[in-house]
Amino acid sequence: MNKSGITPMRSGTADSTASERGLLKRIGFYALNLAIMFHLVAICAAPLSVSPSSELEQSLWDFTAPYVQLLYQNNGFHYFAPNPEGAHTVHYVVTYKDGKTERGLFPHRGIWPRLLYHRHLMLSENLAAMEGERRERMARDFAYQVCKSHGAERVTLSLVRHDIAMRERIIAGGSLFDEDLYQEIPLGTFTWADLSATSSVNSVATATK
Amino acid sequence: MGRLISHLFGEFRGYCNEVAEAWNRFWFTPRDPYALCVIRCLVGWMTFYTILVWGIELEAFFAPHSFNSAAMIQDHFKNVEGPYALSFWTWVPEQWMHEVHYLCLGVTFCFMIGLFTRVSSILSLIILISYSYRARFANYGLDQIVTILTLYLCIGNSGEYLSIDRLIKRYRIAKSKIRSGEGVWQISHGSTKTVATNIATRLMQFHYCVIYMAAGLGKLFGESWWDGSAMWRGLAIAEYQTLDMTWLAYYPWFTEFLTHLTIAWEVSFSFLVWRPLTKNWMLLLGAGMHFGIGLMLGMWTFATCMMFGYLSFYEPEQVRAFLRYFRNLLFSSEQKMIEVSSSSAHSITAAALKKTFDPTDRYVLVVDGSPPDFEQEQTAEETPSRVLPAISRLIMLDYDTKLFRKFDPIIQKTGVPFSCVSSLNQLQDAIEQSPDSIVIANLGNFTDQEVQDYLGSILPLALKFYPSVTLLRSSQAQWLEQELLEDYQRILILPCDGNDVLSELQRALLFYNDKFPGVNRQVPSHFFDGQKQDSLNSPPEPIGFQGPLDTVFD
Repeated sequence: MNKSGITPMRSGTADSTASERGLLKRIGFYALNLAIMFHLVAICAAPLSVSPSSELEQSLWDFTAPYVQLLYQNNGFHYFAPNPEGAHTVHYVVTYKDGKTERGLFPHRGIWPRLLYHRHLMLSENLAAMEGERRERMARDFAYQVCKSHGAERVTLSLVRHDIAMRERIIAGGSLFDEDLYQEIPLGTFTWADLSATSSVNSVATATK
Repeated sequence: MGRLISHLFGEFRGYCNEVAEAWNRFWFTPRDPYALCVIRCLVGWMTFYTILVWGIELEAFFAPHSFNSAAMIQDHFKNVEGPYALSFWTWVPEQWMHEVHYLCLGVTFCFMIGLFTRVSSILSLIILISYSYRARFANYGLDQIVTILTLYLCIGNSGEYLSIDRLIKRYRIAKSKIRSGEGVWQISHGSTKTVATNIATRLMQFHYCVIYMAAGLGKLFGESWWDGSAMWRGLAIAEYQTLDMTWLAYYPWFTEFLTHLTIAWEVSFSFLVWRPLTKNWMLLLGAGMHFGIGLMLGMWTFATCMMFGYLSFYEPEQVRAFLRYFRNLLFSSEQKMIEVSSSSAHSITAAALKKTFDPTDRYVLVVDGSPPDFEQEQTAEETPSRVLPAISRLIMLDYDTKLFRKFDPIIQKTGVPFSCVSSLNQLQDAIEQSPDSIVIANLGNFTDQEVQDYLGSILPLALKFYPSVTLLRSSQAQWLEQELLEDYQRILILPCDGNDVLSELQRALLFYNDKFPGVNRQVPSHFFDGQKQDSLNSPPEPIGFQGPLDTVFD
């Protein structure tokens, strides 16, 4: 120790510390490069895995899926692809305790702001995209929500597909809302008693899980 | 044979080194976060708005028995999407839903205004992901793009400007300066360029390319995108429609043209957006397309959010110059002296607050009768910190770099290494790499837009602290704002010869050394061999110099 009370660092130690720091920096730099490359691969893997895709693309997706999913980057970005198709709406008829009925649908133009309208539109589009048991389950959730919000005893749901009016139809005097462009797919009738009983069972099951 | 192999190996190694250098330059060149901060303000607003709108029907979307019950969503992720789609809503009890939602609103509001931005940006990302996954079947493009942009805003230093964090920093600096008896004019924050900001910006740019490429390739599966009817089909979906566009049925060529243009634009975006000549067109077309989506399909939130990311394709200096124009319109720049006493706490706080909210630096705080050191403050604020004492490189910008070969013999004599670049982007890169360089820019063959970009933003912003000589045609000088130029930014009107350029270059250096004596960009003594010293010491010509007809340039 010198007079100032500061122990001079031996040059060997300083060198080794510096080289250790240099090594760490280099490792950090390579790790950063690898992270960037992995991220690039991951964000490409999501759209590549959209069907039809090769086994290679699928395995790339399997490899990156946890990371991509955690960050909600698992999007295919296939907007209006392969073709813009007609839209779907969910129509319902609710029956109250006193026997009165009321018709409704969602999404409808009264939903405001527009962002909320699109949320409802996506619900009906996703319902249309589902099949079998999953569609039944989702319809049941919709029925529960409709009954709850209306305080109704019973609800009958149907999915209505609205096809696109082609140019020729408009030129011939038709409109986008011609009746033959609509196609109704019944989803079923649900009672509040049944729905609330099932949802309780579901909540118990979810809580147990 | 051995020599051939070793030659080929050498070539290959050289190529690999070039690729590595280009990669490093692309990802690891420090970048100013201004553009990212503007994006944060806009995306922050959209994040806040998204969460606000979820709140209108919070129970219908997030309660355990909602449009999509918690049980169904859990099954969906377990059996279809995968188990890593996590949402904190899974663990929020029903009775706490509203409290948690208000907390999320508060966090996203902090992100929007740039308060504790580092933390609030990461929390906002978690919030966005959680809301999106819980209401998975009500998601659409907006949720995707907001999350993507927020992810990159977490990486970059997005709270450096236009934020409450910035104001707090300004307040602290002003207060400490006043307390120490110093006058205050401009508040220096030091260099804000970081590699993280550059990585965030590059990732954003790359992600946009992936989005449009995937969107374009996905559409190519559909026959309507080939037969030209897709745009009509899109406009005729009544459930999306906000404007009645059925009259377009009588103009099929128009919708067919838009269909083909959309595909061509989406597929080529990834390639052409990087080229200076086509970048603005690509972004303009994109903005037009998104504006159309907003106007006709009512998806304003998605459309504008997509456009917010376009700012990442512009240099921070360009974004700053654009906003500065409006700032100068809104705020007065007339300077005002304010006397402050360093012994009064109230006076210090009031003056520091005034200085905090002074974007145009119009208030000059005179503390206890001592004014600020204008020279020092300006130099501290504006001089790049990386300047070296001597010039090490001449950067020459020309549309066709071969033209500079005519200039070679004169430059060779100076012994200063030089490099030629052929675009504004390359010039930006070159000056980033060599902060101790001087620039000669021959804009004679550049497009009007590029000349405007150069004179409007690069020369007054990126090249503000570089001695430079700019060669212009007289017709191009219309975009020149002479009052914004420094003495060391010389302008020559074409045609002119190499000696004129060299003379003007030395004038630029003399002025530069006068202005920044500490920096002192000296040149090797033989730099101006053959030049008349007298002519160099004479007062500078007014801006614009008509050279002789036997020209090298032009």
